[in-house]
Amino acid sequence: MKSFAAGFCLFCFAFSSALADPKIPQGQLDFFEKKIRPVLVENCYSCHSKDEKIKGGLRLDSKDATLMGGDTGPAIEPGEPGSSLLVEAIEWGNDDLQMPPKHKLKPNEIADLKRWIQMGAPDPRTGGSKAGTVTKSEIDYEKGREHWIYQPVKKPAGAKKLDEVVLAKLKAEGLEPVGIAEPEKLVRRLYFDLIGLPPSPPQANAFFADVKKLGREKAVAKLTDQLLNSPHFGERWGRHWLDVVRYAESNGMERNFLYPKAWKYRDYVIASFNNDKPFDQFAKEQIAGDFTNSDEAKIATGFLAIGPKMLNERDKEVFGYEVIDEQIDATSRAFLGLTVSCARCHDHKFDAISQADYYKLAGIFRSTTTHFGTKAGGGNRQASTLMAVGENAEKKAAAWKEYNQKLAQANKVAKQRQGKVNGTKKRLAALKKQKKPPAQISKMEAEMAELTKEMKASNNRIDFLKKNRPPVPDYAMGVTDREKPVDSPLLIRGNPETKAEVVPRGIPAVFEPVTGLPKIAPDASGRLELANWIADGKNPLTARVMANRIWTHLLGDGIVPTVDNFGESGQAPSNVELLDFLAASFMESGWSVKNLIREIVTSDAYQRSSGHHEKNYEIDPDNRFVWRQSLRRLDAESIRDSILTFAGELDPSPRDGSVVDQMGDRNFGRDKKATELLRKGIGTTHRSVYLPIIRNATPTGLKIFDFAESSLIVGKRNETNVPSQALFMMNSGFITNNSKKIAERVCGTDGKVRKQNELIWRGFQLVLGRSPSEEETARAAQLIASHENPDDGLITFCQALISSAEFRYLN
Amino acid sequence: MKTHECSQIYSPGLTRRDCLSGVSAGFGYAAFSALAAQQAQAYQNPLAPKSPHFPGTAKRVIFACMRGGPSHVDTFDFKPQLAKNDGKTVKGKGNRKLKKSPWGFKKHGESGLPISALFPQLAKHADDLCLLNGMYANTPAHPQAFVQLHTGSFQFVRPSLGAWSLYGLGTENENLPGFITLAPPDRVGGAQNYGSAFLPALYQGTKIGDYGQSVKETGIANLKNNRLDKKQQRAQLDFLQSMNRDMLEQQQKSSRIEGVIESYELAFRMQAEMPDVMNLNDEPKKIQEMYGIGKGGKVDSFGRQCLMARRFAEAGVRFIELSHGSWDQHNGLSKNLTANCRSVDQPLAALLADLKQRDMLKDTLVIWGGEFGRTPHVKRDDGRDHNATGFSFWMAGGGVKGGMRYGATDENGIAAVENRTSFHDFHATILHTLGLDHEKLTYRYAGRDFRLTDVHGEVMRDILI
Repeated sequence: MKSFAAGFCLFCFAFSSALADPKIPQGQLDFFEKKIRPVLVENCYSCHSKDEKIKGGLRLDSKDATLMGGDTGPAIEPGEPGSSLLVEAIEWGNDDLQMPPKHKLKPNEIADLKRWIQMGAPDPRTGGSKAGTVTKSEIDYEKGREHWIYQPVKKPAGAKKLDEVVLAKLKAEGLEPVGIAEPEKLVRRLYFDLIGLPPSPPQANAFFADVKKLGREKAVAKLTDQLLNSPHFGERWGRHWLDVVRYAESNGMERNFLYPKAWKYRDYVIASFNNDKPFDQFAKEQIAGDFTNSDEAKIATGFLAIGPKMLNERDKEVFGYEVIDEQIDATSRAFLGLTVSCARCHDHKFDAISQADYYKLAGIFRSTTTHFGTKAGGGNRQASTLMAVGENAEKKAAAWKEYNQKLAQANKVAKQRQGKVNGTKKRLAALKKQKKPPAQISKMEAEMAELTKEMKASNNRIDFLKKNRPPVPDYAMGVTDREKPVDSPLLIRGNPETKAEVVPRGIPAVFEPVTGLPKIAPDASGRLELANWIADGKNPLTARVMANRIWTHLLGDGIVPTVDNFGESGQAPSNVELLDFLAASFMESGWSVKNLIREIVTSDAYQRSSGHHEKNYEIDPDNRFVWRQSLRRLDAESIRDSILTFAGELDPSPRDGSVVDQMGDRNFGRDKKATELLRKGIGTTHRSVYLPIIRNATPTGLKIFDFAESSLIVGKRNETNVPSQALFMMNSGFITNNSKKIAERVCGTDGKVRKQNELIWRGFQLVLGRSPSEEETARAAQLIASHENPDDGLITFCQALISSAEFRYLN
Repeated sequence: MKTHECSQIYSPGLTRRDCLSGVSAGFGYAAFSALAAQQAQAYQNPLAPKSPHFPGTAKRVIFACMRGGPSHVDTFDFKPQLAKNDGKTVKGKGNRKLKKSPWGFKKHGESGLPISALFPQLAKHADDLCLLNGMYANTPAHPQAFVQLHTGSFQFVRPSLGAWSLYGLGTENENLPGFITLAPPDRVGGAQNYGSAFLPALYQGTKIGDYGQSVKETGIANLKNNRLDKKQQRAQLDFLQSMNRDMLEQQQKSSRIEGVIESYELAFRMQAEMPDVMNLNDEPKKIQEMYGIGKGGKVDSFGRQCLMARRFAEAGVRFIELSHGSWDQHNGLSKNLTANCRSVDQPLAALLADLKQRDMLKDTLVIWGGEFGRTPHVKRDDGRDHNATGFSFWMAGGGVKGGMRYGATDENGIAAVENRTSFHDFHATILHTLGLDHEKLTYRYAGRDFRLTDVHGEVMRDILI
């Protein structure tokens, strides 16, 4: 259907009310009852009445509702049949608007309706309009609650270990678990999974020694603890979370304005994982950290500010609702695995979330101010402030503001004075040239002296101000409450121009008997209540969703494969007992992410081989029940960071800030300096998590290997195998350069001359963590021999190793 | 994603070999003897040709995108009344005065299609052109309208038209990318305009060249090895693939490892084929001249894009987008619009003629237009402003009727009034020519099925043969 008014409502409510005339002449009334009402009831009510459907937001069953109209404006203009949409529709003149859709009204019926409108549309029908036009919700909450997610988390009775739960399911499905993977595979798996970097040959050897000495279980536990304590742990697991929260450093729409302070949120996330911040607290801080006095928690609310934004939008209200929608979407999917924003324009098609439920949450975020910064102008019509953070943040910010105002004023004065000086100077020169009387000249000279003095005073003032410049305050992105909370009206079809009843702030009703619903005081936005409700142990989703995310990163697939959607349209859990076991353990441990990871990686389920098993494969080809470990591809960051590690190039220290901060507040697309800085920023050898992530300009080397699309919530990345990846490995400058460096490292820096076979062996050890077979050694030797210069051959060989599927996959 | 049984493949372009490659002609095991469960797991190249929903009339699309909003009343929307109303004030438009087109329109071809004097070459193809005179966009702002033109939505990040086409049909030549965009603008949405959003990444467009620069010296990323010759690289690949095959044997039944192996072979072939396809020097001098190559300046530049497009089309690329701009003539209309039209007229005419002489126009849909049009009423004497309420596109070939005008603006060319065509309708129609039902071409993401046309879109059936 073409939208003939593109969602722009033309009606004016006051105007239509003013037309209400209680006294209708009898003749007109009769005409209405005989000619109009039956036609409407017969032909229109089935789709346009309170008791049936309200299609297009239009009701034709009361006077007010008819005057108010639907999504595209008032149905009739009393007295003006020619400009009434209703007439346009029933005449079938417009291909896009033909009503009733299945049959055209009879000519006399059309004539009557036109005549009636001509009369001024006399209409005795009451029944209201405004509140009544709320799309009638057909959500059956009772039934909706039968969905498994609304049942409380229940730890399977008697189960003490994760493996018991997994094995019980395998048995029930007639599957046999495969054996445990070899230590060479385990050590790679643990290093990559926990810190995203490969084990060096000595690190791998230390593990093998421990396996011999302590046995596999204890050796794995020891290594796990060691890796969980590495600062690289937060860099890896923080990045997983940054995928979920669509982290990026620009607004990423048609015009791309930078978020120079977004990196503070990035660093907050990395630190939180490194410190094993309890996940409930982590959640609370991100949604409502501004209610505390802690800067860290305030920075956490950057979560709500870093989303993509349509800064070019002219209409403030439209923009506001876009931001709200984005916040609802991010919050509900990241923490609850619920696609609440599907209910923005209509009731959720699958889940028990009504449109009113959506606007309950919308009110909470409408009562929130989002500080995302960005430079105004140049197409940015919606710039905002940032939050001052750090010691004495507010004082500093105030002083800074005052300083800038004073400086601007002083500069303005100086400019004016300079203008005068220049002008006088010119005039003086002219006087002298024209040989005017000395009196006139000396008068002007005196004037000039005075002006010069003033100018000097101005410059002194500027110098003084600059010398006494207050410290630059520190800023971050985030949210704060508005002074007064405000509910949101329900927007028919999500359109701010068609407002219906006001919905009080709150939590979706489906949760009422499950968690109880928090009370939101009249003077509270409700955001804190929302945060506490999400982080409450009674919430059946928060722990399950996060436990499932963690499982996904370690086993390849989620127990619920649709990791960001636990609703009816998501996939069912393959083993709900297992999910509940994990969620319950997670909460019991005080929401410790590290603890849950430890529990999983020390299990047999995690440590199994990824090998094939014919019988199992026939029953469960997708490994839904985890009879083996999955073959998993390294993510884009691990590929880059490993190659830099092999080459001896990786700078393991965290990068201070972000190159985007250096670029400053600007529109990225239009700036050469920024582009140059970006190039340099991408060229650094810090870990990938510190690379600049500007929307629509993510580093190619990451993008090629399915880096998360930074405008979307990505709980699970794509995993593609495309020729552009192969071309990157075969021909890119990054790979060629690093292959050379890897070859140098394989040769060794100790000056020892090594035989070719030893070099081949060292290459395998460095990149793949294993020894080559005799056949592989022979093939490698053949490859090297195909080059005139064996050094060149060695580079080609090293490049092949990092290009191999074996390097790229964890098996 | 749907998998199609071979017997269901309908598209006349598909051979049995194409068909097999869609099911896995894998290195690991014989796919046809496998159990159903194994088939589900078998490696399927997601770019392998897929059967359309119904027989399409177009196999491929060439979209010449004119960034900036070309003036419709000066090019393809003949408004005789506007000339008569020249100088009159328009109510409700800030009392601006109507400005007639400084260029004359003449009737061309058997159909007598009126085309402006700005397009003398293209006018010779009048009987192949279907002028869409009733287009409208939802906003007169460049970035939004441009993104909406490409993805259907300016509010959300959505897959682009080319990505949807590739997702729907796969590609006919697996040695080349299936969706290529030549010199697209970095601004006005940048990569979003050829992105895949939530669709798998391999459906995104491959960008060749930079906006505003000639594609003469440009290439695709990482296509050339500066260190190894072909023989050495093949030796490297043989070693690498032997390792990969060992791993495949070890893992068994791994579509992932098969995918890696195939991606290297494809890449290796792409290295060979891509530069060849892009090498315009292969073309006879006569053809190059026909496209305006050698004429210098912008004619040469756009001529190269058009000729490259034809070569890509011939080689089996599904969706090719060309870029030209800017058409944003707030000032200097007479000079700049003349220059713009001059730089695209000959190349576009050559493209149509060339496709025709190769019998490819019948199944290649060629599209021309920009994000909106320009106002017939003006503030300045020699410039027109943004007009989203009515403007024009044209299509040719691919099963679209020639020599017709579809839709119309009001007498002055301000707003579309007849057969009003939104970008959704436009998208629905393009997909339709490819044999894709825009309501059925869906992708499940975040719990719901998304389509290019959201809940809108109506196919312009009247323009289809």
